[in-house]
Amino acid sequence: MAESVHKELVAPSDTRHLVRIREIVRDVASHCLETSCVNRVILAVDEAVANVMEHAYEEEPEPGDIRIALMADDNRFEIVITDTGREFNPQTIEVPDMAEHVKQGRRNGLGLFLMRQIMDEVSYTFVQGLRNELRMVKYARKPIEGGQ
Amino acid sequence: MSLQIERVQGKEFPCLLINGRIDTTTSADLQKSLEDVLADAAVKKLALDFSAVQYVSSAGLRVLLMAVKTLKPRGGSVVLAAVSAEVQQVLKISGFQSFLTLVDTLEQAG
Repeated sequence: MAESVHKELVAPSDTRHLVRIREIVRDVASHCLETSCVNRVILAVDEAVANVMEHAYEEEPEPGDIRIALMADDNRFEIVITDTGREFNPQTIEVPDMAEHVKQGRRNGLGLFLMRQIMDEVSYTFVQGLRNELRMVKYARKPIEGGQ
Repeated sequence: MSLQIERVQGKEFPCLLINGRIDTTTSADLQKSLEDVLADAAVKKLALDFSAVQYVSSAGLRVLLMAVKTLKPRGGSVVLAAVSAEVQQVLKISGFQSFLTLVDTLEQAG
């Protein structure tokens, strides 16, 4: 069985913690991904976490926590980001056409566009009244569809 | 984490020398500096020295988009000089390379 690395952290929903989270992502993702890929993955995670920190708890009197579970084995890096704020399903957000985006002067959807461009899998689960859970995966070697 | 921004006046257009990471915590500083420069309607072209920019997230891209949108009706453009390989990757992934002019050195911007 391949050796794997696991880390978990809970941080207050505050963008001042982004720097520490980036370093932990670098540490775990470096287990299986090359440096340039790690840098892109850090950006994707940064977009996801910043989105939670800026929006998940904006209707609540006190910001909650954000829980991050990271795993890497020989072939893939996986991260699960959980918050207990308001429902946000990135799969319902339209991914922008960048040329059209600029033409119209629109600014939303960029972070999500980057997450989808960089990561191999982006999936979302919402448990009513309990939590939002965003899971993203990056493969060191992308599996062939329908292969063994 | 702060972003250092210094304005210098080139021969024909203003330049901003930027040092640091442009992310959700610092993008407002860049936006303020760009708005100050672009408030002068005579400014058509703007150069940004990115040689000391290590990181750009979507928050930074949005600010660059604002500058592009402001200068386009004036027939102008935003030039990024000395962009690191990492930041070039972000511009490529996002498709922003096609909206910006990239040059190797600030001198080549003019």
